[in-house]
Amino acid sequence: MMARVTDDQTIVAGVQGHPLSVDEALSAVRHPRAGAVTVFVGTVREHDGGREGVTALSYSAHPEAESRLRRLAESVAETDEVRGVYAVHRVGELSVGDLAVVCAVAAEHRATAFEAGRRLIEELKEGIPIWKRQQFDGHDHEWVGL
Amino acid sequence: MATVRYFAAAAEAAGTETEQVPAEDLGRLLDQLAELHGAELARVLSCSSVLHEGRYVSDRSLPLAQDAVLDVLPPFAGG
Repeated sequence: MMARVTDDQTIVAGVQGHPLSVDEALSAVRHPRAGAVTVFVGTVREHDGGREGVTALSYSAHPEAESRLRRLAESVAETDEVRGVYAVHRVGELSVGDLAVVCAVAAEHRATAFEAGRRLIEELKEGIPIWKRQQFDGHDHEWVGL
Repeated sequence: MATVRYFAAAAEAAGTETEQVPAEDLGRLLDQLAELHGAELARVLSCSSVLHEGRYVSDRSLPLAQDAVLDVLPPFAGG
């Protein structure tokens, strides 16, 4: 986990093995200049790709995942009016309903918070080297995206 | 000898997380990996990206140094 805090804004990015906290994200991006905070929470669902019966899954990450996530968060933080960016992904064994990723963006106004928040999660999914292995109740498994 | 580091589905298909393979260029390295480990790794390789010294490489003629380290990264699925 890395955090860069200045008077102008806060940037937090990380990959962690323990449960994520939405409260932590909200307090990290809190800023007196911000009038809007958007939060995205990705959770483990019991179905995927039209198939039911996901019982558990595990996320793993490349050693460079955290530094790449930090660069993405810094890039989103360069957006005009953005005052805080938080992006932390969970790794390890997760159950249905667990939080897999928490992203938050604080901005002066809501349009920026929504747009920058959307960009953050989309680019995280697209470009950060993290993998998901899904376990089904029939004991077989699959790697998502393969 | 190039060092290959496998991740996620690639590690599962190769049955190992790292191995050393003699190869002069990227193309010959990839061909050898598929030959060594079979169809499942070949399938994973066909949709993976390869990271070499911090950059994604795909040019099969890329020469590999004796101490080259290459990471095989299957499609990302974070979020």
